[in-house]
Amino acid sequence: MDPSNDTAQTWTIPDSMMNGRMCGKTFSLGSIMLFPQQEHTNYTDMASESGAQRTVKMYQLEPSSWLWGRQARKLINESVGTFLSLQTAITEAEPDRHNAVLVKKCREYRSIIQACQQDTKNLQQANENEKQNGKEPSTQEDLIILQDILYKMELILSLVELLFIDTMSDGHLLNQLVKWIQLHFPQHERKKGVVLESDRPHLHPDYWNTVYGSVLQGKLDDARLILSNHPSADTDPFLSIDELLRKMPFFQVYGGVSVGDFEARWQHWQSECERRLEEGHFASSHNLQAICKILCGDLETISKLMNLMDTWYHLMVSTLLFTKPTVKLFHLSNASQDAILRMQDQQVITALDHVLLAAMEADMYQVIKECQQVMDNPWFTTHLTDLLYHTVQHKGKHQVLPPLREYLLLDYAEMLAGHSSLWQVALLYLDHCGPRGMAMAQEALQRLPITSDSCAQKIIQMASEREFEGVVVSVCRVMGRRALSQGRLGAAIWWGMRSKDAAFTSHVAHQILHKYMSDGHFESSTLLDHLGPAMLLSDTLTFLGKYREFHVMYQEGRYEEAAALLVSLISSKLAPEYFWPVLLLDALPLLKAKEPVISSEQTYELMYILDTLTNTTRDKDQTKNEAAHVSFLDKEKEIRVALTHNLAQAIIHEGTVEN
Amino acid sequence: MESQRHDCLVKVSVISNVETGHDDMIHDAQMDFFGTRLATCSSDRSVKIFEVKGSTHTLVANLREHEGPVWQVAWAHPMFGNILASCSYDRKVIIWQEDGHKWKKIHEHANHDSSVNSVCWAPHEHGLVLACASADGSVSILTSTAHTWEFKKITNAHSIGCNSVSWAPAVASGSADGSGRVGATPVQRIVTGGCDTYVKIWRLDGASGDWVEESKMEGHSDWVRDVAWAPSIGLPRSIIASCSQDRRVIIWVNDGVTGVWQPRELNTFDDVIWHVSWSVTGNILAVSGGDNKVSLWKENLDGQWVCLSDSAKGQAASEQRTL
Repeated sequence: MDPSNDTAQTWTIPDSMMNGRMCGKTFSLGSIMLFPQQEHTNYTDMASESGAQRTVKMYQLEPSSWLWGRQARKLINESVGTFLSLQTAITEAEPDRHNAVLVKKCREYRSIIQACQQDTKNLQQANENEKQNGKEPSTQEDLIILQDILYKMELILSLVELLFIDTMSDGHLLNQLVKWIQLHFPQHERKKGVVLESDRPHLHPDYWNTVYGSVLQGKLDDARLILSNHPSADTDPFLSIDELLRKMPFFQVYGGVSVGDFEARWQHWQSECERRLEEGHFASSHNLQAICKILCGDLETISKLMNLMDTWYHLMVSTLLFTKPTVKLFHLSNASQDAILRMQDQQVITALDHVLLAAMEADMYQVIKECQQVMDNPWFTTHLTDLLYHTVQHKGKHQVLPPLREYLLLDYAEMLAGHSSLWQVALLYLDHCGPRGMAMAQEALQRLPITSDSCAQKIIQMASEREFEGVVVSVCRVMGRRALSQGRLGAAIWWGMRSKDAAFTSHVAHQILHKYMSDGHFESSTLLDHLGPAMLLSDTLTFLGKYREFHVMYQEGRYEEAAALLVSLISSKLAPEYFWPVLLLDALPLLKAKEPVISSEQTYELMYILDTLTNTTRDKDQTKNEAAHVSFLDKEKEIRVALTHNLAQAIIHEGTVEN
Repeated sequence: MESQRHDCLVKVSVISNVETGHDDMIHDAQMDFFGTRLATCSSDRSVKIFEVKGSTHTLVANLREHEGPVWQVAWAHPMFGNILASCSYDRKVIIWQEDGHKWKKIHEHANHDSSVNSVCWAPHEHGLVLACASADGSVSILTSTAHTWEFKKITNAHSIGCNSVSWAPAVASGSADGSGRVGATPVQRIVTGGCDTYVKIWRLDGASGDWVEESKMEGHSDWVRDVAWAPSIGLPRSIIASCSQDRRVIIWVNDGVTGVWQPRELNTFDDVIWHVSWSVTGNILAVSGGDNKVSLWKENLDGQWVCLSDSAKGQAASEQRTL
């Protein structure tokens, strides 16, 4: 049985040609190509099947995700900034400052998500207003879905922050949870505004629900405010409940009160609530009674108000608020199960619930796993895992997080690397992934289509920074080859040198020399004049560089130096044989100088060369018709005469000098 | 069997479809190194080259020199210029090069006694080298020198016929971290799959200059249709994927320490598997076969190979899970 049938995502390609034949290949980073492939067997004679004209199509697939949307671009760029600053900050911080750093970074991520949420919302509303422009409904739907995803990510992250990262003393957990609920369930806040602004608030249908809702969220001041708008607000029952609400103790971290003392105070307060309830203070109003029952932690009453709480985690926190103010992390497991049970008729457990439950169970690994199940890209899980990894790292307990973190980083980076505008971001993550990250970074850099010189330079720069010499060489060779095919010989030489490709560079150098011979023009002379020590890469290149030096010397009037160089070039056999005629022609004006600049020894060398050359040209069938060669043949006699003349002069001159 | 959960959902969208203009079935399609050019080959004996820009494809060349169905095409590394190799039922391997804007044949290798089934270029660190696998059971390795192409043959690599050949990444022996060190000469290695059900690894012996059989891996029970050596991912281990007429895909892992190739069956499919190919980073394996599906596989943290996603004809798309 093929297990891939069970769990894998499936997409259909609507093309009958593919029937029974679909073949797929991956290419680049993340794209897939599909085409109908004819299976072939080795020995059958392939009778052509073409009878009817058929269109054979290929399909190119790429992973799609909300991550590639316009709105998410800022998210991606900002989160890499936070990621990098997190890595640095953690290494630099004192151990006791770690938590503070992590909390700060967690909040940065949250605000990045919230900013993206806001942008998406704005965009969605802008689209709504422009409905006449015919915006596709699917885009709107995508935006709504995205907002939902972002909301949920922030919800999870803020819970993770308070449960795992921003862990303070025991008494404070409840306050954090209450704040978490208040932040993510703002409906009572809105309703409060509506109710209070109405003519007669106490007659508003939502009046009492808003009071209950505020109480359940621990917003007791709000509840009191709404109650104070009731005409009977100054009657005994109202005043009594107001007092109870006012006096409910909340744990203060720096209040100087120990957890034990706080607990005692809180019990004392709740006992007072119970007493007043029993003594019938609120007998006249079942609403006020209900409020008091809530304060007493009466589960039945709280459960009855389930519809005001929407979710089991709201229910859980509200219950804990009035039953267990000093709740500790390990209590949450039971508390959450309990809340789910109480709410089971009202809701279906979703994937989000699984994530939150895992958090309540204090199982970090499970939280990540559950998130992975449903996210279509690793953005969230990667950053979350990195945060958690750093949180527990110094404790040294977790063995699973380090490899998981690396795995997710590689996954996320690979996804980014396949995107034409995000590969640089990918590299920043890959720097933190060990040897696998390095290998992927090199592959990603090499595969970038090099669209221009500046693009190549950029890739080379990024590769050099990371000491990826192989990538640099590869890029240079590709650029060199391209330049050559475009006839840009100077550029080709430069790239050839940069890639230390001796064979290629020689080849191009020869091309330049031949070109000079045919049109008397030096390609990219400035480049060649400044080759520097790199010219030693290949003999031909060295010759080219030196020959340019000769030209420069000659132009500057340094004839003796030029002559010496010229002769050394010839005698050292550095010059390729086909170029000797040119050199001899170059020697001609020097030979004819008034004062001999070429010594007798050097003249003998030149004579020898000339002889060798004329002998070989007589023997060989000269097919080359290069201009320089032709002019050489014309001038051969003249050169001979000049050589003889110079020899005579030189001998005399040297004889005189010696004496 | 326990349920395998995939690690990351991949939502895939069709971004373009290309009308190839081929008159008959396509046998192979390959993107070049940068993903800017596409080469296809077909039973209609032609090799077509398209230029790819985003989601548009433009035909730039239609090469007709083969005398039979063309089975595979392969692009050389761009540092050698724009070079493409093709192999065909007509027993020939042709190497093409772009000159200016024209494509021309620069070499023809006609040294096999029957159909040449597969061609694969070596990593550029070895130079411009091409391996060709033929139905006559032999493998030829062509090397480009200054002015010509030399070749060496591994005769009788697989009895009955050789179906596929793939090169090992050029990691210098001893360098495990792929840090891109230039200088050390990497060892040339290929893997071949044949009709004799074996997967074999061959190494170029530096001293003798001959190709020697280094490993013979048994695991399949029918013709091996395709082999693919995974790109290096920066770890010392090596991975080869092979697929066969026996409907199975096997992943062979060499940990780089013991020198032993351990087989691990990826899956038994519903039909013959013809083709396996690795993503360029070596993380994802694409598997295609007669079961009408293309599935993508990835190794998860526990070392298990799990199926990421399927593209299928005729199967209803399942609901995407949401939070």
